[in-house]
Amino acid sequence: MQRMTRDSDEAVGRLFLDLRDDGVLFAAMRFVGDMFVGFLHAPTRRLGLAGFPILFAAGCDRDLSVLSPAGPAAQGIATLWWWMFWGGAAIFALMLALFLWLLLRPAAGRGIPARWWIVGGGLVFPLPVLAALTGAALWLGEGTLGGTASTQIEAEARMWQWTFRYPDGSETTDVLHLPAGRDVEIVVTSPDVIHSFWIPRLGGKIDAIPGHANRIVLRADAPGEYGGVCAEYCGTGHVDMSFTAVASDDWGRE
Amino acid sequence: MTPIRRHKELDRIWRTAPGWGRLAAVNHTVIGKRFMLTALVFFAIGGLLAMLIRIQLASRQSEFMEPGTYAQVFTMHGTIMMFLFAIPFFEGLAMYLLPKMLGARDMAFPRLSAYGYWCYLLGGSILIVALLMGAAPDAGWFMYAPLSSATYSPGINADVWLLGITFVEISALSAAVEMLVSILMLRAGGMSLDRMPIFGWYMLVVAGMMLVGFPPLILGSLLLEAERAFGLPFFDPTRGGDPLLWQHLFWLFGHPEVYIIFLPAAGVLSTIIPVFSRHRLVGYRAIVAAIVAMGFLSFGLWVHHMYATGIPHLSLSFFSIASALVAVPTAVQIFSWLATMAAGRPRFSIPMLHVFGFMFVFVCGGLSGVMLAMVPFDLQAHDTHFVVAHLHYVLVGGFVFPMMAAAYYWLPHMTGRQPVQQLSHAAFWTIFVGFNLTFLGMHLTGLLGMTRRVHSYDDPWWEVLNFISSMGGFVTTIGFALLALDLVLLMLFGRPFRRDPWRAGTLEWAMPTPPPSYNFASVPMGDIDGPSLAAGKGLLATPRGEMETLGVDPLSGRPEQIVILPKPTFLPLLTALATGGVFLSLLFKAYLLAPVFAVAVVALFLRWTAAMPAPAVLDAGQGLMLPNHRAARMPPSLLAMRFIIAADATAFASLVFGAGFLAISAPGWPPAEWPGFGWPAWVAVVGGLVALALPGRALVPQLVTVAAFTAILWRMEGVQDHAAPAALAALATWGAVHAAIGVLLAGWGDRRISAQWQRYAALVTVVAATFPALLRLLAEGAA
Amino acid sequence: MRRLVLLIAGFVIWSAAFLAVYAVQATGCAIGMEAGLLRGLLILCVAVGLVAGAIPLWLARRGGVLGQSAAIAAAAAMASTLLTLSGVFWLGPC
Repeated sequence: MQRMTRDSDEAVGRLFLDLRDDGVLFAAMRFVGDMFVGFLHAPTRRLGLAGFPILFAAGCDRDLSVLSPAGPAAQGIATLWWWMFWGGAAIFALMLALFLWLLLRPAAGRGIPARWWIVGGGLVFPLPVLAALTGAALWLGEGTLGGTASTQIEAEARMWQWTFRYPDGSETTDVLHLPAGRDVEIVVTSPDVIHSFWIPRLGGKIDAIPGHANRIVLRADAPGEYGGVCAEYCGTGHVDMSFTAVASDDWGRE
Repeated sequence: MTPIRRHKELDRIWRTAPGWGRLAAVNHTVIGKRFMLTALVFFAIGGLLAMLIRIQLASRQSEFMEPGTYAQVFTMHGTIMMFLFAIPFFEGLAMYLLPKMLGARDMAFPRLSAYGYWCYLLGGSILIVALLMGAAPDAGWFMYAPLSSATYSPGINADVWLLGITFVEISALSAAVEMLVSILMLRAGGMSLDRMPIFGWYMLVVAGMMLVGFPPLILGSLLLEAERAFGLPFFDPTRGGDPLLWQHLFWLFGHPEVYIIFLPAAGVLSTIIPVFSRHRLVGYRAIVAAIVAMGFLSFGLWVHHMYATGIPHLSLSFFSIASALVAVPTAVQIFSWLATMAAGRPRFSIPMLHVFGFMFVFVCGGLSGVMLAMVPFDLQAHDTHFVVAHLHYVLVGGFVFPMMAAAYYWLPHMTGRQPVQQLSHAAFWTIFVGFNLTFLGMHLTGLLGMTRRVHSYDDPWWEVLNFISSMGGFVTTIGFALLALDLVLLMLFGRPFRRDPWRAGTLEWAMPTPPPSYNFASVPMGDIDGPSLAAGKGLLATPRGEMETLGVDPLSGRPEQIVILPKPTFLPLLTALATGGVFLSLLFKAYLLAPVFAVAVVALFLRWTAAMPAPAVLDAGQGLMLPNHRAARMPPSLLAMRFIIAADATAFASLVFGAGFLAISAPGWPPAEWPGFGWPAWVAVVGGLVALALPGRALVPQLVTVAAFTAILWRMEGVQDHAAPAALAALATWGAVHAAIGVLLAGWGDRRISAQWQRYAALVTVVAATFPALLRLLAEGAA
Repeated sequence: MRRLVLLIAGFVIWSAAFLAVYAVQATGCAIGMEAGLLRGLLILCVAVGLVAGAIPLWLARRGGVLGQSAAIAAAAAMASTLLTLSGVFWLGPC
């Protein structure tokens, strides 16, 4: 409904600002620009900035870190993540640049017809990106989900501990012994509330749901210890419900 | 008649009385502001809880809170922000704005607005009182069974959530019905749907989504409460129930909920961006299609909260692709806004600064949303702080920033004063920087393996990141305090203005500000400006002592009727108090008291219909003679009944789905002894069929149906032993209640409204009575 | 009101197809249906959804702002049906 009231008011002018009035926005932009220029010119600053990725990489290498994969399932997901991260960062930068460009340079985009914006930005750009990403993720998922393995270990989650039962009938509590370099199928159950079985460095999680037996196939590439936790909130003892997965070459011969 | 005299007469008719009379308010401006103000109080409480969470997590092995207290705090933070802040806030905004934008004098059912508000206030208060007493819900805001069942949550905590939230949801459902009818019927003369302000389209779709989104949650809450209170084992796997049923019902509501919250904000952006770009909105048609697409697609995403529950990969693929696809209509909207900016000459002002905040934060949240839609990645990120960061980016970016833009844009409308400017920038940047400081690093915290809802941790790296998040959280809070101060300063010291300070083109700026109680001195008809409306050149310019507004044909906007709205009354408050009595007696297990209050609620609702105007044809001005709504072909109440039936049918379909789901998925099916309805089922079917054939004379057949279902329930055995008889009992109860409402409407209701209900209730009866046979077939096939 | 119904008709059909495929797949897996038969049934559901989805597209082709929105929505709904359910063609059925 286009209806116009046009009784003008001299105070109206005060409501609209020159963008330069926003000191913070301009200071922020100048700061980013200085950083970039400084990065190119001053070797010491470059070192400082280069330190950050190292710090970041050190941080990634943690006991429960998704970014420090130690098995094929987790490795595939970590690769997917880095693709999505860099792609997402590029799209984010593009969107923000477009918005600021249009805001700071009024009439800059006047030459582009409206239809191009909407069809190009709304369909032509996102659809192929999403199709490629979703296709790749489904292909990855089809390879890792719903598989089976000849070695089965039962994991029973209860408030608030993990019991693991092995093919030979033995049991351990809060320590899961795995063969290294070989697929194992973990059958996850719960007698009380919902828990979730998760060893971040080996692969995704699977819920332990009372009344259901869920399966996940994992493989540790090398012998070692990997942290595991209950990922679904299960009451006041939830935080203590962690376990250790120990992968060894001589599994089953002990 | 001079404008001054018209103002005085209209105000005498429309105004809310001072003093105690305020409790009888039904006016949409008053109720809308109350909704928003109350929601802000809850926002402050929820924010305080967030600060407690950040204090707890700021350091390793913090002794600040016990695990049990911490559980109450994070559960209540989520619950308050979702149910008591976000939804009621936009309901209030829509209630305040819609009639003004569409050229009406009020919403279609003012008493329902008031009733919804009181339900919201009372239900929300129950939750807050429980929090203060240390008896707040503590199983997480999505209340997964069986942790929330009587075995593992024996206290009153979970009941507070189930009953309190259901009580609050009454206001969401009533607002949904009211918005649908108001947008479709109560507009300016000649405002066809395709010329409606885009905000109207957004709210039309949002209201439709609320209508089918909330019933599954309400049904789920009732079933879980029935399990907790009476031992009907819908979610108990040892007795034929299934915890996954709760997850399906919850997320069937819970995912659309996110879009229900985002779309009103997008509507605000679609309204504000064109004004500041000095160009009409580009791509109106594409945006309307995009809103519709988003409304539907958002219902195809619910299982993406359940990727780790062991559902087959093919099923997950449907939801994964739909989750990725929903980014497309979002992109269409964002690029329409960019196209609008490109075509116009953007101006800069405080609301635009918040639009920048939206772009930055929401795009980031949308991108991490696409990441989470990917099944393998979600299996790693699910239930970690990555998800916590993502959802805050989406909700704060997609709701809070646009709402702050809306506050700066429309507060001048509510107060008649312009922003002061000085503090606004500082407030924005403090919130913006603080927010990103809190949540950007939290993505990494999640990827480093920190799961959500833990109250302590060991890893020194997590401590660094959590400390940064906590500091950021405090900065954000300071920012919100500055914002609150700025808005108060605006209200106190802002410079007054005459009309339309932003040079906007929508009708809400064609009235004096702050708005008078009656909105428009005369109802707009065609293209007309503010001064002409004040001069009485629109319709209904001559006050007749009744609260009159124009009813139009939904599509073309042709004037069709004069809707006479009810005067201020205490009935909504009394009815809400009685409704609260029902919920409180259920909460405190005073089951004998609950029916007493329920009867009171019904009696009070019957009182609502007592004082109706007689059918008449009235002069609308400009030579237009229109029937009043009692004489109209399609009065608003008749349309409302259709929407109520749609909501009810969704809940019923969820119940039927739930029973079928249990038969296929739950362990322990089929039960050892198959429960049947026996001969009374045939009586019910006959009653239903007769009511279907003779909806005008349904009193007797519906009585027969009630009796038949009562007999079925009387004969039912073992409802506490297995979910199969429990599910059948739920179906029979559903049939009995609907037939009983049919009896009430046949006795006391409007003829046409009653007929609609009788037909629907009859269909419910037939389905409920015959479904057990199908269920048996399904269960035995699966076994 | 008919034109308003037309605006949502495409996506109502999408919803129906989506639910049908999800229900058939869950039921088929639960009762242990043979994989080839199940896949055939699922593809049939998708095909029916696509054919039904073409009807509102055809009806909405006549102009007007609302008609154009309806046409866009109907086309989007058909594309959504094909895309969201495309897993039935290549992913394992259970």
